[in-house]
Amino acid sequence: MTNSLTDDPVVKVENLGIAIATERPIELVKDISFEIRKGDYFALVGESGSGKSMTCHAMMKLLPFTPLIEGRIVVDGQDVWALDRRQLLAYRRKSVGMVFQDPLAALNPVRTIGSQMLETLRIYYPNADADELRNRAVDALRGVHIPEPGARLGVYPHQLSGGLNQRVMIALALLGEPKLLIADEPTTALDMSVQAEVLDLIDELRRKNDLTVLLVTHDLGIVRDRATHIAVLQNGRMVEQGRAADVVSAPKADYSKELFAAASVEWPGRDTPERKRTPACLTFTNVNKTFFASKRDRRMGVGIPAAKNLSFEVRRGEIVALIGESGSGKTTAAKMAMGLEKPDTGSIVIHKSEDGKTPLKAQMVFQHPRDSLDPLMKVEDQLHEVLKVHGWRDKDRRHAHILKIIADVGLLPHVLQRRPTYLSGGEAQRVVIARALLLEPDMLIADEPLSAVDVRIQKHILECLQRLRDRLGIAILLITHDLRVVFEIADQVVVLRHGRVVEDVPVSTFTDGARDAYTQMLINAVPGKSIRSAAEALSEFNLPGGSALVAE
Amino acid sequence: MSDATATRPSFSFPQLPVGVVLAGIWMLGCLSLILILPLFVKLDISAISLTSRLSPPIGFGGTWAHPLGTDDLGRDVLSRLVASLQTSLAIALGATVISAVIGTAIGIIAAHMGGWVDQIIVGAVDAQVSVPFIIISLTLTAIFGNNLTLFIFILGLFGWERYTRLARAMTMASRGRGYVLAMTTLGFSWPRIYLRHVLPNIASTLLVTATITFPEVILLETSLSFLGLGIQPPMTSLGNMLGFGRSYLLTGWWIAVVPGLAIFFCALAVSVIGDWARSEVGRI
Amino acid sequence: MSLAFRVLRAIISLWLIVTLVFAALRATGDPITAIFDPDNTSRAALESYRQQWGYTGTVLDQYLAYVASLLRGEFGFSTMANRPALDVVMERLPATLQLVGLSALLMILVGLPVGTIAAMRAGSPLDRFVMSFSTVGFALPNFVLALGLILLLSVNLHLLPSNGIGSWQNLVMPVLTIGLSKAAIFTRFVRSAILDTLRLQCVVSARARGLTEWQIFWRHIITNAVLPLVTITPLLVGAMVAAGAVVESVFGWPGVGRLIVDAVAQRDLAVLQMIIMLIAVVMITTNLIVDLAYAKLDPRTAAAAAH
Repeated sequence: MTNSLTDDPVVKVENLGIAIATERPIELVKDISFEIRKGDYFALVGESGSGKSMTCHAMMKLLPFTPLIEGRIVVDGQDVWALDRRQLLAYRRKSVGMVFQDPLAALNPVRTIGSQMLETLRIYYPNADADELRNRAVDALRGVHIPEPGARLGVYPHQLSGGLNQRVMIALALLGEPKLLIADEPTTALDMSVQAEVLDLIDELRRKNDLTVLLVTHDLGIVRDRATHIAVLQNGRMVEQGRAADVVSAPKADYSKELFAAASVEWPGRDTPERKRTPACLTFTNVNKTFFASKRDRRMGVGIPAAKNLSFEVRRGEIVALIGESGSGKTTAAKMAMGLEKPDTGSIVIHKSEDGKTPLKAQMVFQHPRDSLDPLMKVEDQLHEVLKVHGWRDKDRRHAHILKIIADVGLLPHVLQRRPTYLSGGEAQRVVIARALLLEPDMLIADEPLSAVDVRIQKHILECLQRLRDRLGIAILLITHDLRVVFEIADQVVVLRHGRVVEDVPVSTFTDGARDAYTQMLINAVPGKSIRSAAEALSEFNLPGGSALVAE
Repeated sequence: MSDATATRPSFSFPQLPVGVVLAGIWMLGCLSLILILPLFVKLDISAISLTSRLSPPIGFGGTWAHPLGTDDLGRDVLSRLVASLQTSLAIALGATVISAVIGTAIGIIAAHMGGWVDQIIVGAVDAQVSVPFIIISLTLTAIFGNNLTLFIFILGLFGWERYTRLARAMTMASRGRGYVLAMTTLGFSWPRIYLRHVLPNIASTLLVTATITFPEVILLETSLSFLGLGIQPPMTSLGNMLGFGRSYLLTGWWIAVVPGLAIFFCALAVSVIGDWARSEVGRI
Repeated sequence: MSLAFRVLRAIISLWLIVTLVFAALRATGDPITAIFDPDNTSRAALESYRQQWGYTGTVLDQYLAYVASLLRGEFGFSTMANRPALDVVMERLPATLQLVGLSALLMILVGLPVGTIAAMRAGSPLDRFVMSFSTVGFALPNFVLALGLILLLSVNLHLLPSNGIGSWQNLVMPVLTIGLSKAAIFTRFVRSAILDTLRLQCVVSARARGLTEWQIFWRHIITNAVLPLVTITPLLVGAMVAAGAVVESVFGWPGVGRLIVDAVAQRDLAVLQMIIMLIAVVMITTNLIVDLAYAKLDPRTAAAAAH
């Protein structure tokens, strides 16, 4: 039965419950209800494990297991789980289109883009000949702004970037002109600058084709900017829903409040002080390093530059954020700072302490906390071992020291008895920081310490790092790709691109208008605050020196 | 999911599938046969008795003096079976341990040293993989003749490349991203890292490989003995019993069938346990 | 990596193997005294055999002479058969090819469909049955299966001959033995390859677009599942060669497998060397073909090689 009344919602989910059919059924989602009306941009939001992705897959009847379903899902007037095989096929072809998280994985790697588009087109135009199909494919690619669409038909997915692949996925999803587009975390696997482009594309297609969009994400910044409605999920249950503006500005549920507070971006005011004039801890001077894929490449000089004339400094008691996208060379810089890699040319100096005698000590904190810990040993034993290796023989002394450090990072002593598998992400990361602190380093090098952790825990860890700087005077070199983190706690920002320093300024001046174009693009890509619209507005008026006039 | 700590799962007796239970019972039965029966019953593998040649087992016309019958020289099949089980299982166990230890050590060395050492080892592994092992054993037997020490050495070589591949891959994984890297920055020495941290973590996968290799070693040893190129008389193995029994299929089928079934069930039991162990480990 | 480079590498591997085997075989002593008891045979007789079979001079002389003769197409002299080793081996080759070829066919005809169906219905009773069959097949030694078949079909039922070569009846049991035994492993591989493919995101994505299960199967599942199967081909070829040695001995099948067992027992070094070289050539060629096929089937490998 097709939808004849334009008043009926495109999507109506009633008391949806999904459970895995084992002896004691495992509930994944319980009692979820929401509606999406034509033209809405509905954001389904929650942390990992909240059931948002599961709900979407259920709407397409694409769950990887045979579930126990309660309630109903009605899309475009059809009760999805009551459809027979033929109807289901028609439903997937005509009513809905879905875009997945990892575009490279979602495309068949051994067949060309063209062949995958053609096989889908043949469904809709069974009588068309090869040329007509090809033309339609090219048109579809053009519609998602893929340059040189004709040439791309013969290309394999791994030959395209993530952003381009995702556009292809969107094109594929919309070939049947569906009423609803479901996008399951479509930008999570992409670089920040590309994320904005893909989301812009979805916005544009929504307007052009009168599309209804259901977007699943854990990134609240996106939600604030673009969605019309929001539903918040936690542990498979719906916590809150409503119009985006309402929910974002005045969340009612406690969980929602926490979530939004944790994701809010604190744009630094201009009255934060200038860079501290403390002595330097770590100095990079004209460091060069290139990676070659093979000996032949090395001979020919064709390599990937990880560092090109890289010079920056970390001073005592400050947090320096080294920021860049993937491939910018930031991780290599971190490794060189720790001595794990050697620079080709240039110098890396770790300075001496105040009395000029002993070199300052540095320790490292890594991206995946549980990976950095031995999964089999208890936390306590691992911490003791570190001290034992460095000559701490007295067991009681070790124990006292460990307890102190644990308190410094804000953990409770009971985590000592656990094995790393039983720690939460946030606890594990703080254990790693604690382990690094055991030897009382003067500097911490933190390589993407927040990427593997949920938004609310990120806040805890950031607070922990701030505490270390403020109370213990530890300098921190923070490697990250996330500008929001930078704004939270950094004192100095160094922007890397292809191994070169593009920007090296205190964070307070960072958000001034007059910045390098690349940096500006990174700033604009931070969802959650429409600086862009202000800049756009300014450019329309063609005012010179736009920087001074950018109001908050 | 919130930042709540995962609760430690309470220990519950794992539910064993029927097959695994049966396999366990069989192996325990074999072990008790090997270890306990000789304490109670006198077993003589070479007592020749021409009067009771080719007598069938119990249930087919035989007597309790020889529960599983006798062979062409009147030797008791049950005694020979027990002795063969001892030999075959002991050799298989020994060979598995040897290849596991050697293979793992080489794998860790390859991962640690990298560079040309690693390349050579990888090349050797590839070369080993492409040659069917039985050909190698036949060749070595031809070269060096038929002696027991050599035979065990050859069997001990079987499967080393599997451990090497696994150990190398897992060590490289640990080194690149995880706790190994962290521990080097914390000042731990390499022997400490490998022996106290890497090895315990990769042990379970290697153990599973051992349970999969073990039946293959049994099969290899019995195949070679069957062809007359493995265990030589007067020692007896399941394989050479079968080899001798081949000529008597018409008149004394039990001479071949008994060891044949024994090989089959032993290999099957260990395989079943190994498969189950692999799925359990994978779940951790 | 270009074709020429790969072929060159293959030839070098082959040469290395030949040299190794030669060295090992000679290193354990004078082959003549291994065959003839020096106390009971006259020196003249020993010398004449030495000349005839080419075991004169130092080891190095023998090696150079050996390599020279290899390049000439002469592969030594069989001590068992008193004929050139090349003739002895080539005579037996067709029988083995017939056996291995038909067994491989049986393995594929059984393994592919059974493995696929088991994977598509993973977890069902059918799947469990197939997995059990596979485990049993793996644990059952091929010579036990062979003897079992002989016992049943020859001795008890008098349906098939247990020995020899000639008619199709002689073929049935040997082919069944190797074919079924390998089918057990192959089924497992097929099942695992298809199961892995079923979990791929691109399959889910294709389903979301409304492609029929049939289309998905042929265009997305099969195309990806062949990759791991192609990779294990050399493994299976090797396993067949190994099985051949034992099974041919059991059934008295006059092929290369039985020949190698006899050659080992009688220390016929020329024949042994010849067969090892033959096997090496087969394995190396198989690996070469598989490498090239894989590069054709998986476009990602071409990209990796290009860098």
